[in-house]
Amino acid sequence: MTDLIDQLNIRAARITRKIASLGVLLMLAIVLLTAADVLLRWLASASVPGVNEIIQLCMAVAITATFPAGVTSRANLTIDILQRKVTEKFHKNCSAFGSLCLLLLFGFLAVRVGVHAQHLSERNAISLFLEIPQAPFIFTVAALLSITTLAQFVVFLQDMKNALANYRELSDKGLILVAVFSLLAAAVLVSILGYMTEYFVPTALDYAGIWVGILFILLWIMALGFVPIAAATGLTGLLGTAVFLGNGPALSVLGSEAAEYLGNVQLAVLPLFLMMGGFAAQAGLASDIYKLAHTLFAKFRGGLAMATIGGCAGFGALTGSSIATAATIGQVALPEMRQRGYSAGLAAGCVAAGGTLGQLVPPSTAIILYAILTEQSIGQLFIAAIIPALLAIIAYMVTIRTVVGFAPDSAPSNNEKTSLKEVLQAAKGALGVLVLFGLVIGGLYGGIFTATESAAVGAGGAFVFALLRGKLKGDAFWEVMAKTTAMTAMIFLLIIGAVNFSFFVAISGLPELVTGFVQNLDVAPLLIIALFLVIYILLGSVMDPFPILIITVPIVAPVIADMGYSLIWWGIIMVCVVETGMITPPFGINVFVLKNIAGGDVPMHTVFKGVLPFVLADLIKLALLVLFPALVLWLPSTM
Amino acid sequence: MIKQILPSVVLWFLAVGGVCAETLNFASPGAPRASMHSQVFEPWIDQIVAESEGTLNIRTFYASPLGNYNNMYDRVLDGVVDIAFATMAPIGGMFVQTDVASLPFETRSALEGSIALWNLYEKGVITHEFDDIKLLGLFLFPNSALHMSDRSIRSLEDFRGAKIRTAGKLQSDTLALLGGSPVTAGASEIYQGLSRGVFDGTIIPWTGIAPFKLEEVTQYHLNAPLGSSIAMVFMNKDSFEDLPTVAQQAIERNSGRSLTERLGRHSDQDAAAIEQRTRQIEGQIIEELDPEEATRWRTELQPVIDSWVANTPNGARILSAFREEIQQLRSTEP
Repeated sequence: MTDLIDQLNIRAARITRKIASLGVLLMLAIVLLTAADVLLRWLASASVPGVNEIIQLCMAVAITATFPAGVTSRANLTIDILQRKVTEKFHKNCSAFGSLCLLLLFGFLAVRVGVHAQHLSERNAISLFLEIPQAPFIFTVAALLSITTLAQFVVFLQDMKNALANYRELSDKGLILVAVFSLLAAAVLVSILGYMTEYFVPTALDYAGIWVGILFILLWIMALGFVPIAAATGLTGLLGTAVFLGNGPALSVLGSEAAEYLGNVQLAVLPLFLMMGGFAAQAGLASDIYKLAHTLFAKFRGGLAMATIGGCAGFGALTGSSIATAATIGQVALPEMRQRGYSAGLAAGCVAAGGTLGQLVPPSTAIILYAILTEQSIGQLFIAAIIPALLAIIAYMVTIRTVVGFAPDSAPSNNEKTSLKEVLQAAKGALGVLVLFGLVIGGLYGGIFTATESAAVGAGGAFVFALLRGKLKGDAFWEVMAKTTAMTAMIFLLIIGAVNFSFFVAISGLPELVTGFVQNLDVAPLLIIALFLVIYILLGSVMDPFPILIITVPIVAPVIADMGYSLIWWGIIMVCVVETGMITPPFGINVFVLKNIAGGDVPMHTVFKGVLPFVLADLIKLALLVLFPALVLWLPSTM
Repeated sequence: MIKQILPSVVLWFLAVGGVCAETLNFASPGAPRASMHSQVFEPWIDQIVAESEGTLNIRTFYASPLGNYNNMYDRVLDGVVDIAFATMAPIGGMFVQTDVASLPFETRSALEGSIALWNLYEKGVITHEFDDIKLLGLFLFPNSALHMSDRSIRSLEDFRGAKIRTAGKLQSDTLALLGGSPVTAGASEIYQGLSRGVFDGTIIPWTGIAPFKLEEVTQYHLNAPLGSSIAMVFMNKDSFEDLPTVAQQAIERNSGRSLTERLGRHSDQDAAAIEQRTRQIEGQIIEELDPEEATRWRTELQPVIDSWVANTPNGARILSAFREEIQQLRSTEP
């Protein structure tokens, strides 16, 4: 009986995994359908009519199906910069509170998406081309969200158990009582809040500045207090919208925005690119490309470090995540470099810096998120990122040369010679990567594919590689899928929180306020850009790229656009600058990842010292991109 | 923080004691600089606010963060937005009878179509489709024309093998009957699709050419009445009923037929201006559909009309009522 909660957890994990598997199979089906559409268009110059609509409705269901497994595996993004500053007891209390917040958000979502589906069914809403009734799909989404709420309740129980263990021993039954009681208390609190907001609605606009201030403080308290970012932004957005428009409209926005973004065709590229990265790693494409880079750069001093940068860039082209790139390439490259006598600083520094190429080389999840927040074209942003990415690669290689020049003992001097034959052999081994990259980016640039299609082709291609290489035997397939579902759930939850938060920001009039303020400043636009960049580097050194984008883009993007700058250009600048933050002390995440791989014998400050030259290179690259926007904008203009 | 909240709370209590103006949100998903905003909506809103004798404030949201073409109808129903401009097509399954005005070869101008449609609404023919909202204005965009990148279309035969982007089921069916291959794409994807040759042309009214810069990627234009898209300005029912009488009267006085005419006239003028501007660009070829060819097209398109009549409750009656209204308008024209 004492293991009741443990049992619940095990059972929840088992059930949610099954649901996620169904979702993943549906995604694979979408991949095949999209690929078929592309093929048909190419061969017969005909297309499956309204294929978008099928993708839209099925994707909403498939993505939501990953949510329950996402919450049971605790795939949440939380700002943990204060973790080492607080006691473990306090942290556990906060975690339990964060769990409760997430539970509330899911509860609201489940109910409101259900209400939204009800509305759709009442007015017989149908899709434009195929005239498919929409309501059944959205009802399914609502049902899956209800299951997610239940799963989150189990997570909440576990967190309560952890938190209460600091105070007294409670039986699991007692715990459940306490949990239900605190849930009721939260419900009462929410009702009181809801009751209060109705009073503020008529005058909220007159005190917009004050309200925005209060809600931003609330957001930061929650975010720094270990509440998952999705819950912090989602609930703050809900409350803020309620203050300005009333409870009914705020809740309706929550439900309909969630339903809309889950079924957003543009966003469908996200899980597909995640899938591509997962299969590519599983197929061993990472070490293929590293080998190729190695043969190419072996003759230079510090060649292995350069090969690492090349490997990161290549793998970045298959995945949209900088942590995944740093971790995947780091596992191959770091031991190799250490074994051959590279200094710990240079070895770890170049992997950490190279990792940021994962986000800059398209496809990139941060760029997709930015595109959604600013309604820019994902395809154009991807193409715009190519030259800056090349620039970053060159800058990193020059950095390595310089470091090796100044500190000769940081890299071994015994250069290896590689024959052309070896290079060709390695290139043959890495053919898979080259073909995949050519298909995805070439197809996008050449106009053969849309972003969604290139993602589907990439995911399908990586799947075939993994399959042919026999890397998907046994549980391997499901492991890749579990990783994909966890990431998908995490990012889409972030997006649901983010769109609700930016809805509140938009109606509060804050962007106009900031824009007006900046206009009144009467200083050169370039100075304002510089100011923003400094703020972003500071933010980036303490926070993840995603929350930074989510919180700041709705406010900053209108200012940038108002000054006459291109939002495509700004998107690339943003991604560069927050990625620099990933390797900037004191809290660069990539550095922590590296520290984990490197193990105990490399102290933290060595890693940071090693990464510092690369930060400098990043800053020079950034200055170039800001001063010469054509570096970003020229390539997409030729599409 | 309390110091910050306190004054707002105190002031709120003070404010409730006095008379305070009701603030309504007006939202349009159109681009901020759209001429419809500055030339129709803004004067219209100013007029209403002025006539409301201080009881009304209207806050405008363009390219609206409050909603897009797909969800604007729901946003108004749910009270997120009080007054909105929206097109009917994305509200799938709701305005099937009103759709009569979107059929090809039925109207010559946005103005006559708009007035005819408003008459149907006023006479109770299609009124029940608007039961959930307070309708303030109902209008058509001008007829869609054919805009091709590198081949001209003058006759039915020219459609063979032409991939043309369409915006909905009705347009797709229309194009398929004429002999082309319809391709589906959102309005924001037209430019890229045309420049990369994903499709050879698009069906879109002239009013859609300028906002998407399509004159840069098209060269051959054919004015043929290939059907219109319908739009409306509408309001949340409760928001309207909660207003003081002065404000209600101010809105009613400026809406309905007068707003409908204003919008219809504006969209005709807008289309004509854009067509004129395009004509002056070198290399642009703008042609009218040959009358004989028009008869052939009409015959080919009869199935579209038939299937609309068959699938719409009271379809036959509504179509003939609409045609009568149009005839009436044309006969009274000077």
